[in-house]
Amino acid sequence: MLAAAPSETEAALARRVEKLERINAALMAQVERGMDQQGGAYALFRTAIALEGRVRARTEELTGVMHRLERSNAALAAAKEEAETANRSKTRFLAAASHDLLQPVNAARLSLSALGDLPIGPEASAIAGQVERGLQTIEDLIKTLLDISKLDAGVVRPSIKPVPLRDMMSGLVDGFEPVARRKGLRIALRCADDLCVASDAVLLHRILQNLVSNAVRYTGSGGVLLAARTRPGACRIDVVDTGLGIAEADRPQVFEEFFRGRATPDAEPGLGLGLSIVRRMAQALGHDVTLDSRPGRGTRVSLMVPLAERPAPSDAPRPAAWTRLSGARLLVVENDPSTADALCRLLRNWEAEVSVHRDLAGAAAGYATAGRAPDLMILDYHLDDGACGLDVADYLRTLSGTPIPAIVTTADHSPEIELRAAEIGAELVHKPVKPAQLRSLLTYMLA
Amino acid sequence: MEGGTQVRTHLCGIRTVWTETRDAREAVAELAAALASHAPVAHLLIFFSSDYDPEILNAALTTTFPGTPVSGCSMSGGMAPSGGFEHGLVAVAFPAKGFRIASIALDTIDRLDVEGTAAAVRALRRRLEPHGPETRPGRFALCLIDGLANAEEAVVSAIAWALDGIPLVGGSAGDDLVFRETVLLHGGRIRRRSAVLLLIDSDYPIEIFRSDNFEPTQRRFVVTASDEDRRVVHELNAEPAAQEYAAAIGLKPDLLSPLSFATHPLAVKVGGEYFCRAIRHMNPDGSLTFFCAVEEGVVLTLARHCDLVESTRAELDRIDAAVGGIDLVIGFECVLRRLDADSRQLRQGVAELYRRYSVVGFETYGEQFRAMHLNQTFTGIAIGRAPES
Repeated sequence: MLAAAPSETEAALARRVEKLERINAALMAQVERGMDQQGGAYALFRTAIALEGRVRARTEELTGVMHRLERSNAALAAAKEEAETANRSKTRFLAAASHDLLQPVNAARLSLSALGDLPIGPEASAIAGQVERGLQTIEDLIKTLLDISKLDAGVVRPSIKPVPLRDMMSGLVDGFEPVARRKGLRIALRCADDLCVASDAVLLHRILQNLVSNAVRYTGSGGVLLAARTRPGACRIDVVDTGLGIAEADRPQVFEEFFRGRATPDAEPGLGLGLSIVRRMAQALGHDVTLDSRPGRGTRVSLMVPLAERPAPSDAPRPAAWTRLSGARLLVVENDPSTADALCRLLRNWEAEVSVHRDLAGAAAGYATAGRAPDLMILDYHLDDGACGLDVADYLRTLSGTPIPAIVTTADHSPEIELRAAEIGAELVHKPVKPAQLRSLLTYMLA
Repeated sequence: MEGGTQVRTHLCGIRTVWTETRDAREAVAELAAALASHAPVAHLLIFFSSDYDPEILNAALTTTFPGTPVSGCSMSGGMAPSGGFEHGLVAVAFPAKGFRIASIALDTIDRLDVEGTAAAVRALRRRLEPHGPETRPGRFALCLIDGLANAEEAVVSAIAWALDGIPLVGGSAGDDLVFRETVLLHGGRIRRRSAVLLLIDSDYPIEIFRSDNFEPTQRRFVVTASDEDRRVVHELNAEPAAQEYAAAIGLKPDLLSPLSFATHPLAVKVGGEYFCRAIRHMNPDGSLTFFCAVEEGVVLTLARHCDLVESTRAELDRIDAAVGGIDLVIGFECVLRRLDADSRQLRQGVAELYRRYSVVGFETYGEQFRAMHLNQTFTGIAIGRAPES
């Protein structure tokens, strides 16, 4: 028995070891399968449990996220504030960059107008015309977008002062008269001489300019009336046209960006930004804008502006910046409309007051209306019907009795012209005019 | 349960009918009579005893309810508000008002094409959500799966994949612990080796749940030889499986019965939680066949029961609060739980819960909860009383 016992124990131990080895092997295989992507039905069950755990975890996570969202409302508000500040500084940057943005556009337009002076074929002319229109659209778009962003960011703060209405409105009527005439439209003004409103002259001018521009664009026949009527304590400025009118359904949208009405066929397509600008500027000024329209009959847009005391003449001295470009009164004589337009835009960009004429007769009439001599004349050498820009200089200098400074522009590089310009003391600038050169010349001559 | 046919109309409009009538034709006729005086049925869900001839039952259903979609499966016992019962049928009649239902049958699940199944389920979803995937609080899915095809894990994984978070519960069809043939009904046809899936949009709050009642002991087994596809475990701890298991519970292997399996469940620990892996039957070669997949190397822990009635009550009370008052519960309960309850004389307590929470359903060979195939649980969906606002 004693001898048997150890051998029995040995057999039992051997069996036990064998079993443990097999258990071990099974466990190791299982662990290895656990690392494997492939799996049988049991693996699917295990995956399902993992998924279930994940669903629960996701629910808890979502609850957590919700709480965090609630907590982060304050942080969001702060971030919004920061973003608005950034937006404002961005707008300031854009405004500062506006001249630089527009400069190359103006340069391109002047080059194009010079191209128009060269003997090129009708096809090339047509293409040049298309490029010209494209450039104009770009320019308008840049300016308008800048204005919108400035208004939105609150960079533009109106400075409310007494504004004599008649001067402003007649200037507008004069400005649009050529366009209106080309379309066969009458454009009329009705405004008392001494009417004066409390507004920001620059913004009010832009508002009315947009309204008149729209009126002309969407009117095929008849005319446009710009009228100022006094109401108790206020003045109502109406821009009335006999155009297509605005359908009832469209009225809520016309003040939105990029809404465009059906323009008359011959009109330049608009950007759809005019009335949106009008609304923003009017809001900034606190002026009410109302719209009244009968489709097929016409539209009246009215602006309610508070009345102001007319300032005593001594209260409104010419700004001291006579010698600077800003506010300088420039007279331009140029027979080519697109060149005239480009030059005019460039000069107005520099905040000069510009009157444009196509010939001596026009310049003479402009002089008579203004009642005084311009600060400087920019004259095209070759005018229509063989006329010469130098004659205009001569005429106006004689009429005013002052040696009005003059710049003569020409695409003609002949020494004869250079000589004749020098004879009358005018500066000669060759086309295409380079804006930077023109600007420094103007600054120098007006100093 | 006192025999005859009983019907209950729930607040949500669902009507449940249950009968112990032994003849299939008669049972269907009584079902029709019970439903006759009410609004038309949008979908009829039927759980029936495997001793009904499925051909006769199906023929009776198609002639009695022409044009009404019918889904169903054989069972190992019914659950109704009057308590559990062994033979007969349980019907859940969904009204058109408040419920929108789409259903499909998935065939040949023993050779499951996972991609194809998921695609079919996605197509089913499009029938309820023609304008693209949307989440609705009252949406859920019910599945019935052949309990002898050894395919629940794959089927429920494929379905849950395509359901993408829509709550899913279901049960494995049974045949009264005979393990010979389980059948499903769908589209007027008898189906074998199949699954049926119902996707349901309800206007009522819903909540799915699963409940079990066991705790682990210190006794553990390592599966050292198994046939995973056939769900057969040959060896536990390198001993013949039945012998090792029987020794652990203090029985001779030849005395093992469904009641032993019910009383001494085995469980696996996955992700920190124990899940029952129930034994279906013992084979002559001393191996054990399971109601679920078990692979080699899996550690099975011997478990013991906790209070079945209390754990079920706690879960139903919780769900009752979650849905703002339970209107009815469609439940799937493991047949082994019923055996266990019977042996402990707990039927009364269970019946009381069924009555209180209007439980209808059947006794299964397995329960499905989201992507999981479970054993020895009470799993189901509760429908609340108040319409979703």
